[in-house]
Amino acid sequence: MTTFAGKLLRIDLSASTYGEEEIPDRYLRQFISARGLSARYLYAELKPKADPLGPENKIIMSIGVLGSTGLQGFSKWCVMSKSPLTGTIFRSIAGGNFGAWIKHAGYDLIIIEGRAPGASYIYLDKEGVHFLKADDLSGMDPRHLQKKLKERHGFHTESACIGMAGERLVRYAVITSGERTASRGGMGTVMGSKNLKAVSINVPVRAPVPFDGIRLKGLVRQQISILKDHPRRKKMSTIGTAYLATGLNEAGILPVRNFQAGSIKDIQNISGEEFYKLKKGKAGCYQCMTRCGGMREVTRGPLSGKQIDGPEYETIYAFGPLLGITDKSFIIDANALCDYYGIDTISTGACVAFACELFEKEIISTSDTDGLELIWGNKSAIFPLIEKIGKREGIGRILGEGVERAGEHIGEEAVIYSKHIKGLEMAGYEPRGIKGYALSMASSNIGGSHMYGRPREELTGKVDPFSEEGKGTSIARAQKEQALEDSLIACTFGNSGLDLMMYSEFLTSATGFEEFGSTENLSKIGERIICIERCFNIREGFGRIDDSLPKRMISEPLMNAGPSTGQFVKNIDKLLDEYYEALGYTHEGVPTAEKLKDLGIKELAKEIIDDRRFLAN
Amino acid sequence: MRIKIDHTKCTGCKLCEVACSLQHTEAINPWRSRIRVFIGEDFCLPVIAGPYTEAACNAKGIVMVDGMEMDGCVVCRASCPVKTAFKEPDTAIPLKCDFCGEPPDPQCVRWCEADALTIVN
Ligand code: SF4
Ligand code: SF4
Ligand code: SF4
Repeated sequence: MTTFAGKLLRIDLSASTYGEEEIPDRYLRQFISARGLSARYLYAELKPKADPLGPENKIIMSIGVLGSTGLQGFSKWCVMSKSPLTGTIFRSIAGGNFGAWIKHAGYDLIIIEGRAPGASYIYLDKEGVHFLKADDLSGMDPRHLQKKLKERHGFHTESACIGMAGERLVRYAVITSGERTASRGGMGTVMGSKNLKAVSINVPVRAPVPFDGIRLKGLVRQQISILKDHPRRKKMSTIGTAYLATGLNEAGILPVRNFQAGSIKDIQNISGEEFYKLKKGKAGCYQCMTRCGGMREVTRGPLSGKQIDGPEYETIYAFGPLLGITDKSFIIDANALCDYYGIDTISTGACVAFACELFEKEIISTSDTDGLELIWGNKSAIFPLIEKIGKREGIGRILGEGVERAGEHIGEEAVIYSKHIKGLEMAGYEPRGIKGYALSMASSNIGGSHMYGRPREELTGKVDPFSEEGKGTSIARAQKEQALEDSLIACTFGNSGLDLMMYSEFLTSATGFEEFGSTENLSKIGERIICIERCFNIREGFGRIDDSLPKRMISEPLMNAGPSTGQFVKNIDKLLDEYYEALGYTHEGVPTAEKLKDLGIKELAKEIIDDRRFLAN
Repeated sequence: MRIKIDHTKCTGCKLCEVACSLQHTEAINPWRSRIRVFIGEDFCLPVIAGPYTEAACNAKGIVMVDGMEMDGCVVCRASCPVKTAFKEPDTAIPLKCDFCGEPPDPQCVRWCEADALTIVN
């Protein structure tokens, strides 16, 4: 027995047909599950230059091999698709229960392709897949929608769905399940472009049977006893990621007013402790004892009077310091508004910040903003602006395209204020004050994400964050590790104190695959995954030139940033050279033929070797 | 001895379900646990499986728990023909808490971090 389902479900929306397919054993051995396996399928199946919002794009939803096995913090799920925001391969990870339900339905992956002729949703039960009309659900927000679907199909139904923004193709729409979202990269937009409002599953809980059940049970006991006493896990369980804001502010790497500064005065108003005071209850994902989410009450907007799970750090950053705001109830309300429309809080905050900076620099005026005075910290203008983005109305039409496209639309003088990497709005770490993050975000195959490889040693102060030495190697390692963790899917927050050795034991006892016992092999799997993702991007025309940072980061010294004041990224080229070398890529950032052979994906990535254009360096 | 449930302390972590399942079944499956935690919009409610009843009751209704209106079926401890909880998923054999351990050492109580489950005499 093994905890792999070994099967995938393929759903064609255009033809309203579906079928099951076996997943070859060697794919699992090479890529494990979730992010890795999805990347393998997307690379092999998606034609180059496909339109991300066309019927040819595919959405792959997946659960990790250790999901629903009793191990804690392994039941999140992953969405992969070509992103309408970046044009690259994209993975987004979400929590809630939905992932476990994919597993209980008996699949490792669900691949959705085509485009439904009209508003529709999918319902999966014991009998199979049902293609249902969703006309009566159009425009509905994720919370009410999920409730409605539970009433319609049974209390035990779990859904992954989109809000109004997804239907209207705001480029950074999210997919919501429970209180959690697959936030980044416009995965909800892809769903919207397929006229797919929701995927609902209602099947009995069939837990996967591990290869060595007795050993795995021992490991579950061991994992829980480690987690119970781990200080970081405890902090996550009480304060959640909100604790990060104060520390980052102190280090001067909390982006303020669209990256004009690295720290803000009244940080104590939005500290983790302050948010903790407002916490009414807990929320979290399937089989996770940490339950890092906190339920808090909303005071304005359509969800006023209700409780939402949030905000976590990235949302605090995006609707707080990034806009010059330190008002915790505003941050909660803005978070709720984004949940209601189904838009990514980071990208939304970044688009608002971009607009505010243009307003400050007098590039746009009230005649462009539908009369909104977009002055830093002006909450009464920012709130309606978020609403406009969610509905894709007025100025929201332009901002809903993301900062890269919005900048190009407004004109050259605006472009330098759009803070993005490969089109993805930047997350809440000022790269100038932490050079590992600068490199990790610049080289990331999905753009400006904070979750593509965290420079742990720098964040914990073990390594000098300002130095540009040796970062290529450490980031290459961090990205490999992250890729592996995303392929299990080990939650970064819920698995404090566990290491690769532990994961390797989990994997061998769950699957019986001997080779997972070697941590070198696991690290190689991580490398294989980022390599295939890079091959995908190269085929799309990305290259070294795209592995870059916004101009401000490499030319303007950071201001008002405590210890990080005066920092900027001096030599991104050197950082990249070292990073490419560590991963066996050419000077242009293309994996060499030897590397592809070494990783055992030479056949798969044949196009990269055959096409001489890619290798010219 | 019995187990006292203080639902106001429950955080919904469901470790008790894992603990019970670890004790009784080969693969960990919360549906095969003798304790289930039901999570609603603003409550977490642990329920421990009691005796099996052969017939479904006809006294369906709303019960009040600390001022909260709750579906009586959710709070009920019985494994019964109409309820999906407290039954083996494949065979539908009813489940009942056996106050596990020898001497009794209820695993759910031992694992609950929040003191929502305690033993009283
Ligand atoms: S730590 Fe938080 S995000 Fe991670 S699995 Fe647990 S509840 Fe979900
Ligand atoms: S272990 Fe305790 S806190 Fe967790 S769900 Fe069970 S009763 Fe609630
Ligand atoms: S006492 Fe034992 S059998 Fe009863 S619910 Fe708790 S763990 Fe399960």
